[in-house]
Parts: sequence; C-alpha cells; structure tokens
Amino acid sequence: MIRNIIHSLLLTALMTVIGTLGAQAVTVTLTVDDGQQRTAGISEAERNLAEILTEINRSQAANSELQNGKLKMDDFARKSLARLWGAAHFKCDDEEVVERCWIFKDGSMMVRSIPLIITQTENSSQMNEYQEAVVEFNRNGVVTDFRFSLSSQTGLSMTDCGTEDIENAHIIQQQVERFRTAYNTMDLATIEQMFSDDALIITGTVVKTKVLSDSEKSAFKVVYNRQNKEQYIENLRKCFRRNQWINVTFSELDSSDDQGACAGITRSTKNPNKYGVRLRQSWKSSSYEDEGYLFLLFDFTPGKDPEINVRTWQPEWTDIKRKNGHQQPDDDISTLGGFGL
Amino acid sequence: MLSATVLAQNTDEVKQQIAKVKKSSQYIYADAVAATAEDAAGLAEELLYDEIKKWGASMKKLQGKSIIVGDTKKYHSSLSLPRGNMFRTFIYVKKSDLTAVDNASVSISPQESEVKSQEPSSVQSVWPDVVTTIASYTEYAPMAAKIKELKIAGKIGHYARYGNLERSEIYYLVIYDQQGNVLTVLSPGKERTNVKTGKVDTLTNYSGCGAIGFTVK
Repeated sequence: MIRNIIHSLLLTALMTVIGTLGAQAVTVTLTVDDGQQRTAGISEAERNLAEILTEINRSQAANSELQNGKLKMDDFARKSLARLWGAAHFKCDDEEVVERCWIFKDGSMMVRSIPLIITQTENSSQMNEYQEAVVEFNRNGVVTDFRFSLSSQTGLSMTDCGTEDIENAHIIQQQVERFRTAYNTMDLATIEQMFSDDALIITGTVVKTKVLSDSEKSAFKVVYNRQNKEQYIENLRKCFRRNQWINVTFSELDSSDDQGACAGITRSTKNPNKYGVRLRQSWKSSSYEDEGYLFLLFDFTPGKDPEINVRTWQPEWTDIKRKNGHQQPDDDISTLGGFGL
Repeated sequence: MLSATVLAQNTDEVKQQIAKVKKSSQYIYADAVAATAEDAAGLAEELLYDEIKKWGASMKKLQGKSIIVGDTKKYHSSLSLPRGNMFRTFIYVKKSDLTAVDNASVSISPQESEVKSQEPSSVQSVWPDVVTTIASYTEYAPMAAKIKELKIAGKIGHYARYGNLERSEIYYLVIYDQQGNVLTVLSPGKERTNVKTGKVDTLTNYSGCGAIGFTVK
C-alpha cells in the first residue's frame, strides 16, 4: 500500500518534470469485460505501461536512446522494444490511453491498439505512419512483450474465421505479429527460433519466358524454389546485411482472391494442433519491394513453443511495376490441404 | 497557426470524450483506424456489430435470446478524427438501449430489426433489389466484391461465410461451387426458396459447395 503511494508520487513527479520539458506524459486505464474480476496485476500493468509510454515520449522528444533499464519488463520485452526503437522512433499519440485488457487462462494479459506514430526512420515513406502496438504482461503486470500489431482489419479477419476458441486466435495472431516484427527489426535469432528444424520454405519467383511467335511477346511464369531452414536463414542473413531498413506488412486477403476457402486462420481436421494462416504480404526494403501471398503452417502442439513448419510465398503479380499478370493464391502451396492436412 | 491550434484543441476534446466512453461500463464501442474515412467508418460498424454479439452472448439473462437495437440513429453515436496518416472512427451504443427479444437477431438497423422480429417467410414473390443484384452474378470474385460494396453502402446488414453464421436461417445464402461459379441465392427461412427459380430449395442440394450468408437492410 505504502509502496504504491510512493510509486504514484514518483510517477506524478516524473510526469510533472516531463510536462515542463514538453514531452507528453501518458496515463493508462485498462478495462475488463463485464463479469471479469480486476486483479492486482491489472493495476500494476497500468502503471508499468504508463511508464513505458511516457519514457517513449520523453526519448522521442529528446531524440535520445530509450532508458528502459528500470522499466518493469522481462529480457525478451526489453530487447524487443530496443529493437523496435533501433529501427524507428515513435511516440504515443494519446495522453490518456484507455484499452481493454485481455486476460488469459494462465493469468497473463494482453493489451492491443496502443496508438503510436512513427516520427523518425530510415524509411522516409514511414514518416508520420500510424502503427498500433501490442503489449503483453505476466500475471503480476510485468511486461513480457512489446511489438507492432497487425491492422485491426487483418486481426478481425484472422479471428473471425476458423478457430472457435478466441484465446487460440489471439495466440496465433501473436505469433504472426512476432514474425512480422522480427523481419522489421532484422531479428534473425527470433526468426530462426520460430521455424522448426525441419521447416520447409517455398518461394515463388517470376521467370521471364519467351513465347516463340511472330509477335515476339515475352511471357512470365512463376517458378517455385524449395529451401530448408538452414538455407533460408542464411539467405535472410545476407538480405538483412544489404538492406538499411525493411518494412513488412501483412493484410487480409480480399474475398476476390479467395475461391471459397476461408481466408485468415484455418485449423487442420487431421491434426488439430496445426493451423494454416493465409495473408497478403507487402515487402518493402531499401533495395527491393514485392507483394504476394504468404502461407504459414503453425504447429501448436501443447508442451512446446509454437513453431512454423511451412512458409510459402508466391508473387501476386508477374510484373509488379506495371501491376500486370495478377496471380490467384495457389491452393497447392497455400492451404492445409496442399500439405495433406 | 491559429487554425492548427483550434484543430488540435478540438482533437483533444474528442479524444477526451472517447476516453470517457471507454472508461464507462455503460457502453459498447468500436474503435477503428483505416486509410480512408469511409473504410474506418465501415470497419468500426463491423467491429461494433461483433462486440454487440459477443456482449449479448456473455450476458446470462440474454442466453438463448438475441438482442436488437431499436433505432440505430437515435442510440448509436460516431466520432471521427485523424490518426497520423490515417483516419479514425469511434462508434458507440449504450447497453441499456439493447433489449432482449425472443427469436430475433442482432441488428443495429431499424429496418432489419423489424424484419427479424418475426419468423422469416419462406416464400417471397418479390425479392429486394439487393438480392436480385447479387443473384445476377455468375462468378464468385465479382459477386464477393459486390457484397462488400453493398455493405459499405449500407444496403447489407451483415455478411459472413456460412460456417460463421450463428443463426443461418435468417440469412440469404449465395451458393457457389469449387470452380468459383455462383449457382444461386437461397432465401432465409427453415424452408428456403431458390431466388432464381422461385421454387422451394434446400442447402443439402448443394453438397460440396460454399456459401456466403447476408442480411438485407
């Protein structure tokens, strides 16, 4: 009780100092659903998140490094936030953040839709870009992850189809968000960890072919390359070395791309621990850009960390510059059925 | 400079209003950000619909009953403001304005709620324009795009894949085969009518096909 009072006084003092310096202090209120009990962990989560967002705003205003040493975060979250800050500086767009707190069976918590604005980045097209963050906490309110989220539209399409258990849907969305964040922060270690050792990676590339006719018209076709995990990680390492920045975004497939299979998440009827996720991926980096369909086959076997068994990507256009040659998703490589599930 | 200050103050006031609604347990709300104001508004409405459904399902006294909002224009409010390089719409409705009705369906449209308070008719001689429009499509992709367009235009209340419909009998069903050919539209009801032929028809005649359900506003 006394500790909480002192903590509140210190936070108020900090906010006063920050106020006089011009940076925006942030307060946080987390709401729970009707009938759900407010735990002590939620109040801690509110305080911790307020401190983090206030420190983010202070660092952004001062254009300095994040002082996250004393923030109540575990190592994974600390590194995750530091990586995000290394890729781009941002600020919290609201002085008062009010968001719903999702409480899971094990007492851990998650808050989505933390509003951020990118204010400094090597990628000039991202300036002033709106980006939401997802923050996770353990049952005591200590932050265990801080990452950028998928758009709420993509999130809705993911949870609106395929899984009956909303908690599973959130876990899957969490994995996809971590996957995306890892690419954007060039976090090779996390990407390597997310793939199973026997993961299969299939990538489609556009190959120009020549049609033998009087018109001498060129044609294109998509050729699929297979890589194992080791090959893929090594190629990704080279890719990270040659790029100053990477901005990967995932979005839902339009219904016009989808010939009837459920977009978003699908669960295997043969092995209920396996889930397929179909998304559109936009890849922009300092040296390259493309758009295509991404399929991830996740293994959520209880007792071990989630793993990606299959990652496939195919281009949406054979000629992306002119947006010619639109391709539909290939069901043979982008559905559970394509892999015998 | 002055107008930027006024705009900032107005935005701050709107944000304060939004925070007040979110902190109150009296409201159900949805908060959406999208690239255009229209998309944000459409997404917010879809999210609010979902939230109302979830809230209705969680309420003990509403178990087994659906909920309707009598008059959306009277009870649902909307706030819009910029958000970085995007647009934000915040839409909310008071919980006390949601009422439980037997054999009704979730709706935030007054016309839809009036239709849904009765058992849907299985035979209709005249179909709404929206239904005949959708039934005129022969291919999946343009049909799906049209449904989306009609939803944004406010002519369709809710749509979803058949597997995600909670009470499928209250939806029109667009049937399509695995090759992406649209076969027909079936009317709502326990006994359905084929919109194209006018004859009684049933979903079991379309084994192996997919279906999208939609309601008409």
